[in-house]
Amino acid sequence: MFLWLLTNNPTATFATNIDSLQNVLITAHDSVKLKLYSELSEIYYNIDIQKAIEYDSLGLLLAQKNSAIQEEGIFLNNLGSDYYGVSHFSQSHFYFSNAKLIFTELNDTTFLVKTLNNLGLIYQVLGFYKLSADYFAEAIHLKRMVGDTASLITTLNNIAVLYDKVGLHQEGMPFLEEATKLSELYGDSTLTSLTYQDLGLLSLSLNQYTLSIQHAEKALVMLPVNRINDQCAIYTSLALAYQKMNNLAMASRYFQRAIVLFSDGVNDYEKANTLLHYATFLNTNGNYDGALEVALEVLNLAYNHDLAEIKDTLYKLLAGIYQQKGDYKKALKFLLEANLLSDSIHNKNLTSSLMLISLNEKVVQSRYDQQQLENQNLLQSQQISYSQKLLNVMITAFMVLLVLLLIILYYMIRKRKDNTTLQQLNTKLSESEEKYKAVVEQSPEIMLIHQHGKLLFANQHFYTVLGYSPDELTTLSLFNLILPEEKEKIVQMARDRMDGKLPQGSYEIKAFNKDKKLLYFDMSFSRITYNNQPAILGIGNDITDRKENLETIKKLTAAIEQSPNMILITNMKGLIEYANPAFSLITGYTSEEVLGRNPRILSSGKVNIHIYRELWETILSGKIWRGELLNKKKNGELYWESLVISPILNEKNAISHFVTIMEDISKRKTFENALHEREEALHQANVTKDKFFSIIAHDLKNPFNAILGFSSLLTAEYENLSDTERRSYIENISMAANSTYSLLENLLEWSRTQTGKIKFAPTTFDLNGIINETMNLHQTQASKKGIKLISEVPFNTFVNADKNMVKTVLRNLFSNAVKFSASGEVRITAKRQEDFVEVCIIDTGVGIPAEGLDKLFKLDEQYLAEGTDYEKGTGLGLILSKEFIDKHGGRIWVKSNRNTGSRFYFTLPAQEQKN
Amino acid sequence: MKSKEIIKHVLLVEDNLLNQKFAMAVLKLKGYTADLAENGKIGVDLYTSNEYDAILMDIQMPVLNGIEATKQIRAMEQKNHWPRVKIIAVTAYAMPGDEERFKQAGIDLYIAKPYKGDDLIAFIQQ
Repeated sequence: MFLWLLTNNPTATFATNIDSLQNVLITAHDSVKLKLYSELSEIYYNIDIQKAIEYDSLGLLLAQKNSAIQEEGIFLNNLGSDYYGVSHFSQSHFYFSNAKLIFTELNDTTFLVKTLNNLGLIYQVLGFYKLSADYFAEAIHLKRMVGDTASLITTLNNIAVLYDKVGLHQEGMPFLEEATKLSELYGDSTLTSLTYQDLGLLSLSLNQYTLSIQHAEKALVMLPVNRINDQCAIYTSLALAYQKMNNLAMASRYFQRAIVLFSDGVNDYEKANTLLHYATFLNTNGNYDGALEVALEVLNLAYNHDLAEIKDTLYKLLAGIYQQKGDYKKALKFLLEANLLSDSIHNKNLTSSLMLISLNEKVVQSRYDQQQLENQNLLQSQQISYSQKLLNVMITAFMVLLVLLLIILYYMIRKRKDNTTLQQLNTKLSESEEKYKAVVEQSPEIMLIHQHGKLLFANQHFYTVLGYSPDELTTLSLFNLILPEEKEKIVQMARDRMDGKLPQGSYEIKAFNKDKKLLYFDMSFSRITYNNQPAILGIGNDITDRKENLETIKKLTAAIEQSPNMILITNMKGLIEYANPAFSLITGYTSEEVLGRNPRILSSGKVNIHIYRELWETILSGKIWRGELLNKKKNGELYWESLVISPILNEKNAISHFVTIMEDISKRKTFENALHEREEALHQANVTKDKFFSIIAHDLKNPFNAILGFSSLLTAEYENLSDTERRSYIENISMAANSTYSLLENLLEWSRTQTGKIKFAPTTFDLNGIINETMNLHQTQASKKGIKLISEVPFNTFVNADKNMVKTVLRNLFSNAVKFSASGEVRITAKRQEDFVEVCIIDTGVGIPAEGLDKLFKLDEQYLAEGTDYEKGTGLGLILSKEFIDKHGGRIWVKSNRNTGSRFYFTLPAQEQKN
Repeated sequence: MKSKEIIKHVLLVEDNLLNQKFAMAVLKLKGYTADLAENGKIGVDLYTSNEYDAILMDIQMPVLNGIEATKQIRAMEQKNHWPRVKIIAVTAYAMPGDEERFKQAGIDLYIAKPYKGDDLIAFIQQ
């Protein structure tokens, strides 16, 4: 920040040799001495502030001794500036307020305007923006009246900076424009430089980075050498501008330059400001550790000097850093602190107040008297009666020195202590009760002070949470609220803490509220002095909700962690943010291996892309997708999983994550497949059984009907029958017996194939042998119908096949050909087709209708037809033939035309002719 | 025996050659006259142009099976107000539920293969 202090001779430059001044001091008259002290303090202000304080204190004493009231005011204002310079703002405030009283009493507008400006600055740093604005406005008003251009420029700058700070960047501009104009007229390089510095700052806020850099560079050129703090501020400003322009190298360089200046005596306020921006810079660029280190340094500075306006930004930054580092507890703590700060300190009517000032500065005048009264109140505790003091100069001087000593001593001691919030609050409570009263009362934390369980003080939140009224708790001991089991322990700890045996500590307290509900508190206790008595200060939070939520979360977490189902949580991009143990167990990928990766790593590559597309379309439209996918484990093993993917919606109803619940269903799939196979086998067995029964029923019962019928007729009616009749009956019986036997043969063979008892045993043989054999077998029947049997199979047609199976095939095909032909011929041919021998049996019979062709070789769909002599077929022969040819790896098929005959083909593996 | 019988006219609907021969032999022996149909379709045609005292109907036959043939015959009876002819199913193989199916089609009795000659006559006379 760019804070302009007005010393009483802000632009005076003394080239005077310090030593000579000091020499003069020894012998000089008091009036000269006062002038010298002032000059020395002025010189030392930019070199060694401690020396400046020394001379201003001496000057103050001397002025008081000589009743030089105006000088007294000047030295008070100087001391205010000195302490401001070392960032001791409460001290600074004390001196400025006193100076203001004196100048007001003297009606000395010249000096009063400076002090008003300075008070404005103090309030700004402490975060009381409204008060600050009021003082600036008053200062501007008076400065315009008295025509103090230099001072006016300063305050115009200050108020512009204030506007900038509260976000009214554009509104701050007119003040700076006026300041620029005035400073160029006035011709003071320091003022011009500082105005440019502020112009740079405001341009930065208005996102005009190049302009900001130009202003800052101009400010740097005009800046007198000794303005270290301003130099530091300009470097920081440049760094910020470059950072905004994404020129990180330049930004980093300027931050470094600013930090290097620290050793030349930059004040703590400017240090904190620069470091805060640096920490933000580091945080933005992902260097969280570095950012945290720097931010903690700022925190230390901010605590030491009560830099409210810095704290606000700092807490938010720290919260951000801790969040990045995953320490949510700390992040939350700082966020709460930041909220606390902005709620209780910043004036909510600030904006309107500021707008008012620029419109009507004159309003201020009417508030002037009121303001005076307010200041007197502020000074209440340390009010010094000046008229009386004039008579007791020595005593007052002694007291002031003593106060100074005490303050120095206090800061020395405090620096050694660790800077916990608690102690800060503890100290601050006694230091400026006014300011913290509001903070304490409006705090979302519980604050209480007690002595041995007797409540001395508690804030509103405490009563709200516990449900008791202050009156009820005046008689009731706090200890009685504690969970009985833990009461003894807590009471003992409180006693030890009162006795100083126990340091500050935080622990969980379980206590009942007025409704007897058990609440959980996270409390910090420390020993303090309250009304000159040792007491215990307790600060903490009601964590009952958090505790209960935690329990719920614990349960849910356990459910997810122990689930036998795999559970994945992925973000919008589909990257894995969580995987439960079951996931690792089943897929083989550890949680660490999959975090931040896409579940695609499980892809087996065997899933249709359309399924993925459908999946994404479904879940991106906010719906739940269910399905089964074949995925791959880490070890390459494939597995089936059933998935349910549900989108998680955030409070804005937008998709933030996806939860995938998966179940390994490989086993189920195996069972399903096995079940399917068994079902298929069962179906086949049923078809076989039906076929079997059908054959037994029709094709065996029919011939047996004839055999039994005719034989019983012969037995019963033998005498009544003629010889012709008897002969005919016997022929019928014989025919029935033959057909039954051939059927039986096929049936047995077929049943053996069904039970797997026929072994496939290929040998090499010439087809001609078994073809002739088969033809001989059918010769009789064929001759009866006048059918010629012709073989055109070449000699030495060797095949590698199971002889018995091929015999069965030939027998059936010949039998069919003869059966379905009334006359003509049955011809058999064979030719080599690559590695196979293709055999064809051609008849000139009835043929097969087209709709029957498909059914021929199928067990469950029979095509049954009668032979030309009404021979019955079972359909079993062709089914058997197909099965046997299949075993050889061959093919069997048919071509047929109604009435012109059929051609049955089959192939067998050929065997090279052996020589 | 032969002389005592009232000669009756029977229609045999049967596709199996040997069964045709056997049934015809029995009927002839017992003094019946019979027409032969090789399948249901021929059976229905013969029925429309002749009058029979009973029909022996095989169930499983090509072209038109016994069930369908029976249904057509019963439909014609109803349509033309002809007297109801006795239809006896002759089947090699009856599944559970077949009897019900036969009855619904209009079959009066059924005889299972293999049957004795006397049984066939007893059924016709029943």
